[in-house]
Amino acid sequence: ETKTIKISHQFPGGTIDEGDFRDRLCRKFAQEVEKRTNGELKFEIYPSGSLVKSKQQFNAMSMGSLDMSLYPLAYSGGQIPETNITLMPALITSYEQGAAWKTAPIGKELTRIVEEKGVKILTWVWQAGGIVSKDKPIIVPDDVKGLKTRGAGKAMDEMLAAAGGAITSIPSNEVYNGLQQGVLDSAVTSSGSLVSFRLYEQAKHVTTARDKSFWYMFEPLLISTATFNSLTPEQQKIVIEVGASMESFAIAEAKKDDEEVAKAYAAGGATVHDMDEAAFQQWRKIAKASAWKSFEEKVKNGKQLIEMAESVK
Amino acid sequence: MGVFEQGLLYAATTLILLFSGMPIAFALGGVAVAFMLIFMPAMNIQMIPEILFSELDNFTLLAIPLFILMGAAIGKTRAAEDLYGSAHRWMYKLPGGLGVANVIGCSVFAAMCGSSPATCAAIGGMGIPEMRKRGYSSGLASGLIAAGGTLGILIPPSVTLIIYGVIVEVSIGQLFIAGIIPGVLLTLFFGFYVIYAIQKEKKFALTSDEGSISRELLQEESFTWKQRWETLPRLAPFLILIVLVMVAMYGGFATPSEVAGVGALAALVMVVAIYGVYRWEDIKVILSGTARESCMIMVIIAMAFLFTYVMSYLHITQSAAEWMVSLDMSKWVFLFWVNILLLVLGFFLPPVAIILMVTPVIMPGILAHGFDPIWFGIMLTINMELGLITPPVGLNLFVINGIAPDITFKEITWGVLPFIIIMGLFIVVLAVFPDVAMWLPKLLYKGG
Amino acid sequence: MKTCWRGFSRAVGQVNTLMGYLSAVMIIICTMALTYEVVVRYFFNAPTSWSLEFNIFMLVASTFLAAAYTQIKRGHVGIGMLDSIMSARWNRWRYLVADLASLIFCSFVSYYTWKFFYMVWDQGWVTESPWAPKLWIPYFFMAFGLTSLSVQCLIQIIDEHLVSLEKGE
Ligand code: NA
Ligand code: NA
Repeated sequence: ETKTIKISHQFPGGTIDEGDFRDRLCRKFAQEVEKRTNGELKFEIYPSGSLVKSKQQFNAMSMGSLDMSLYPLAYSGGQIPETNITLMPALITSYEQGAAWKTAPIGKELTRIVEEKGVKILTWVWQAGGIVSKDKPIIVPDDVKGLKTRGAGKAMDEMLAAAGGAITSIPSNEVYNGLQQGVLDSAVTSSGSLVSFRLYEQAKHVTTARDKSFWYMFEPLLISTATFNSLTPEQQKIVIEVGASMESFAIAEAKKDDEEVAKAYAAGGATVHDMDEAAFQQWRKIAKASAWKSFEEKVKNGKQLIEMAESVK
Repeated sequence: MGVFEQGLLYAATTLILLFSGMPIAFALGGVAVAFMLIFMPAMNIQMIPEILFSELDNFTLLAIPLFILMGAAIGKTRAAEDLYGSAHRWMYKLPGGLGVANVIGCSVFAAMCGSSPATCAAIGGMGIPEMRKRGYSSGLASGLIAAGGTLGILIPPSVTLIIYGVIVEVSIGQLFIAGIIPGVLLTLFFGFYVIYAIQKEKKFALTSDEGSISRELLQEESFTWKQRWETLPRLAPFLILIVLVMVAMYGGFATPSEVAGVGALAALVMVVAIYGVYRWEDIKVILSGTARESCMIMVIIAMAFLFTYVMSYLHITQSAAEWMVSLDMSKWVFLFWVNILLLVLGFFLPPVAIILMVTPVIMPGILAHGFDPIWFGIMLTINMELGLITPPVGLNLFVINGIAPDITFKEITWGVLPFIIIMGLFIVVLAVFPDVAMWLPKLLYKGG
Repeated sequence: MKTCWRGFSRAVGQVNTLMGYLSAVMIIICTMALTYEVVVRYFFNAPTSWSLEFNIFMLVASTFLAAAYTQIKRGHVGIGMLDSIMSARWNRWRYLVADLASLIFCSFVSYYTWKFFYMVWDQGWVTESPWAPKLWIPYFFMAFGLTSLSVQCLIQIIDEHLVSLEKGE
């Protein structure tokens, strides 16, 4: 008997070998599970939000109407405040540190919180992001002063505002136009989106995540507990194993994307900058006083969660 | 039941409910809910409110009620009369001058706002009554506005092109530039057709004995240069409004939806301050028209998304596209069938939904056959424009129905038919002469 | 009994009409909010944190608040292609079935929207922005609008179809 599992994500669709790595990760996962279950489990992949809109994917899994999703967990920040820690500025310092969350207390706690809502984490995926700007590069916090900026994420916005940026909330599909028309002076987003939105056609400067970045987002591959429980123990084992086996691919590809930003923007005529440790520490100081502080105050156990995250080496 | 049978049943049920006379919005939603109950896990029912909200949770859509408000406010004044009176005095020698002015109006307006229904509402709200007053048949008047309105997603800025660019990963800037010449050419062709159609209607009015309103067409008028110039000061408020909207849009002050808001507020202020519309009786008409029209459109958009969700969940759309790609076809046969598929989907679905569901599946085929993705994006957009004016589900047709309730759906449908043919032929032209779209981007993006 | 019903049906109609006007007023408020946003952003370089979500909430609220009023005016368009083909008698029956189907659909969806509203309210969901408005607000307007739409459908079925059947055949 075969069972069809639907995987939804919001990123551009491609093939197993080409395109956005988050889409490729889903396809690789599907192919491998299909092979190892001898076709008992089949998959339908819905890219670019063609089944459920990006923000609604978590609830859909939680209620059991969607099986799986590769989903930026911080999108659920309005419903599960704890998840805001997965897009906390300057909290994560490298991909390796992010990967270490999985087995650390912070990872266990995050797993528990998500499972309480009926969702399981299969693959731990992090992606860094960079900053595009029109007139001058943004490397240290002082650079963002007075600039109309889109932060993509509640905690990021709080930090950028504390640095003196004028936070402009406009939808993601307007970022390109916004830069062109001058509604925006700069924007922060994932390396993948920096390239796929082709912002180098409008931006003169980019600060990549090759060295340091204050922007790391957790976008795990998730499965609905209802779906997971409907699998046989053998299938469950395969799904978990294949999920975990995707993590090294994710890190390698995310790093490639950070490099790709530099290449694409240089080719597009923009000036490429990097953020060094000293600049990163300046951001971190501001983040601690703004976004971290507000998280610690407003979220139950917020302080404890931040401490857990900081203790990961 | 296989996907193919489900697809057929879905289409058949939709047609039956639509033709039952049920409002479009409830018919689309009803089919979706029925299929959810029968073919999908029960949990999906719980998701309905969130699915509806997720579609309306979109800043870009906000432009629609705002431009409807702008149209309703201006429609309550003498402004439209002034504008068309003046256009008439200036263009009366050109047969069909008023119709051509409307086509150009749609095109200029489309260049400002990314939404086709909003373009329709803004120009049609003023244009349709004026054209009918001057003897244009209801079909022609509504058809040219419905078709002219579709230019909103072809002439930049266009939300549709942005979404396509993001999915296919091509330059949005190049896509925008590529849309300009086809947009201008389509405007011209629409204009030529209007001139031809008006000649025909005039001949018909001459030969028919009935004292129909189309006799208005035969009135011979002539205006002196003085009469032409004296209309211009009355257009000043209008020009100020258009300049304001243009400056806000291209001067980097605001996003398209914000421009709609600023424009609508300016229109309201103008209507109250300059045209003296402040009595409750007049305000009531503006409020009630705005509420009804925008509610009608927005509820259809929300329900159409529910309809799309079920189609996507049952994998109907994706399967159809996958099946087509799997067939072994030559380059041009493949392109032909892709266009037929888009056309058929366009009967039922809004453009954004089709692009989201279909492009990821057909793009590998398009690229494998060596077609340029920018060029295909423009062709796809023109095909999507067709979907906006093809029954049974054509958003622009519903907008027209909203602003001119006394024109029957049948008259509108017949009225847009010639424009559908023009656009179909234009797709062929684009296939034969790709440079119609590609010349400008190639020129401007020489370095790559 | 009959006068009682008339009074009820008229009162509901008046309330729904009022909601319709309110919906348009909300759109006007949006124009002001948007203009304010453009001005403070461009001239004072101080964009608001609430404009985007405030306007989207208003859009959802105004859409559903006007649903019943639009129904009163028969403004939810349908395809009337069969009107001229079928006889008046058949058309009446066809529209009765169509109206009943609309009623069933709208009340079905409004029931589930109230349920969803309760969940969102109970769990205290907010949006993801720093402004973080309560998410039950748009769902409340959705549920309220769909319910008044359903009641309006019911009233129209009784007023138009039953009364005309009583009089006619
Ligand atoms: Na446009
Ligand atoms: Na259509």
